[in-house]
Amino acid sequence: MQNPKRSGISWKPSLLIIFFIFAAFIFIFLIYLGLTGYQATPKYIHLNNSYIPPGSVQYSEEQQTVLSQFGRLNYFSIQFYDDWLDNGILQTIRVENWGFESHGQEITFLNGVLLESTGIDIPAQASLPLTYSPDQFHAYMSLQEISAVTGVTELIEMPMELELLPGGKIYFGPGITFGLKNNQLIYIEAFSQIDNGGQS
Amino acid sequence: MKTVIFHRIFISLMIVILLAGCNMPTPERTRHSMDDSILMMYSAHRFILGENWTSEIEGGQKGNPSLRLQSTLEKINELRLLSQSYFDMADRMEGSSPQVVDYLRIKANNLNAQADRLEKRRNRGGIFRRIGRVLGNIISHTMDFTGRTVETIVENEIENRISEIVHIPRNIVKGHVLLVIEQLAQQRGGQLIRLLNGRTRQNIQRVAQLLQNIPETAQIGRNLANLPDISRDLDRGLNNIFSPMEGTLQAASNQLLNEGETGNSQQATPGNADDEDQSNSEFEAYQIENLNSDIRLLGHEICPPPQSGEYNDLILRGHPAGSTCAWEVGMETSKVNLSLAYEILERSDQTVNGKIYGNFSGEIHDSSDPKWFGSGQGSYQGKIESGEFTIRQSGADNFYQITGTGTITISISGDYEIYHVFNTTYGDMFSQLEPFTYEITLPAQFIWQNGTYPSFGIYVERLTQEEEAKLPMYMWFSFGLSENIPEP
Repeated sequence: MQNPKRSGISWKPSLLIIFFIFAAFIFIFLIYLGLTGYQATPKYIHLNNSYIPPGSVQYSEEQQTVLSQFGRLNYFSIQFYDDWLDNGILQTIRVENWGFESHGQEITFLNGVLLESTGIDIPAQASLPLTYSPDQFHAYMSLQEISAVTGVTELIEMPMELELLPGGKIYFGPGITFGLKNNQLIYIEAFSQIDNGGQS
Repeated sequence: MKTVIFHRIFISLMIVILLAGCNMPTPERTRHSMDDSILMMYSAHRFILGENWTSEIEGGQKGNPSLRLQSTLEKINELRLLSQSYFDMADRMEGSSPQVVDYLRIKANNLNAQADRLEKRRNRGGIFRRIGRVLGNIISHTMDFTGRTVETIVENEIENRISEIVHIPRNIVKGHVLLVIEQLAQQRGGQLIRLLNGRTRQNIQRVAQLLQNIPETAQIGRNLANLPDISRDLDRGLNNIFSPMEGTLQAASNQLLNEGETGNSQQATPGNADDEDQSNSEFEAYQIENLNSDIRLLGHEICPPPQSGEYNDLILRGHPAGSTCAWEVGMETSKVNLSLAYEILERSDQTVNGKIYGNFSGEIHDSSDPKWFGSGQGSYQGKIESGEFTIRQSGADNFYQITGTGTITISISGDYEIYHVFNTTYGDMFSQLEPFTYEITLPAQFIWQNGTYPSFGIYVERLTQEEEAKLPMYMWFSFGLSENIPEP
């Protein structure tokens, strides 16, 4: 025969434990939602950078020639990605686009080799000198390294949606935009800032 | 007791969740595709421009739904636009460059699939995401994570804040972005062509010419034509796969002939093609050492011994008119078996006329080098028939020409997603999603000269959703004169 009194006593802790577990799951779920939401939220970040800047990339002869001929660079963008080349080795590709407004030319380099020169028709703007140069940026640099080479410590961080690019974050700084995937630089773009202090 | 067990389970669960949520970066570098970079640039420009710039470029209306929906919709639109740009590029290059067209269409389909996934997610609604945003804002208005002070930004302030901090002329960005995308896509297409179209200087030049004829790739073609080292690099890359067969055939010929000179070679009766079957019993297995252990050369010539002192080239100097030679070659790694026979019909000091016929078969298999090949199972078989050739020596500078006619039929099957048979003799490729049979007909007027390798190949590929086409498994046959025919 079962003792009804003993049975009543044993139910109370069980219910309490179930309630506690349920509450814990709700709490964890909310924390998870909060962290996920936090990760997906655009942020204004201020880096306290103590990194030593890495050395600069060596320009190719063709790039040096272009710079000496065209002079001041108005904007540039660099894409980094991996590709299998003819020799079967996975190699990092560096595609650079350099813009020279005064000469109306945008020049493309593939791993330092001149690939293409395209005429551009952009009205002259009163712009400040470009404060960054392509040789500052290595493939797959970290955020801290980029901050160290550019001196930029205040940035807007914009996480990309998981469906679009998992691990992707875009950063916006003064005259510079770059993208990191898993904290590795794969895209960077720098433009001369406009001189009038307003938007274009 | 129960409480202790629940407590332990709970603690374990917490640890697992914490570990899972930490999202620690892995030290190993991940692979980044070109599309990652392009998508990132697209997204960045959307925020820099602060408007629905993709619609503006396309001449459409600026979108103005709620910001959250607009954000997702724009991303979908960006993917669709990127996909469309691949499609457009493929259309423009239709008929000129099948390899690039094929590649671009695959990319376009992949991007469309990605857009579909994003759209589905959007349709599911974002209630949890919105709750998360609110909670995220509550818990982290100003926080210090890993040495950086962080402040979350309210969504409707994003564009203004970005505009303030970046502070660049928008029209330059707008004019710049599509140009970059086109260049990147073309550059990748050019690489693919180079990879597919053979390993000889002549083939590279042919590809370069092909690219130069297309306005979009003209500059790439010019660069390709002016880079003398590419043929060497390409040779190095493909050498491990294709070259042993060719080199070994030549070396094996010499070995056989040397053995013939010392009396080890068996003599067979000259005859026609049926003799090949008859003399199968006479075949001996030759293990080629010091050449490439991968190659098995089965059998040997059934031609009469070459004339004294003429061991260098079987067809040109080794055999008199009326002789027939048959060969069987196997390559272990690629599971290739090739039976080849030729018959010398007539010959003079300067000219050799003959017939050629053969069968080949093989398995398509995973390579030991994952960098090059995807995975899958397949097979191919084919035959060479109605082949007639003439070899001429012109001048005293050891210059030879081969003219040939004939038909090569290839049947390919397997569990791959795309099948290609390419014919570098004409620089074209046929592709289908299902196994198929392909016929190559060589015209009489086609001339193969020293150093050219008229060839055809089989190429299959398996795609993954996120990555570009896994580089394929393919095999390659090459016929022609070797580059180093010695002086008689």
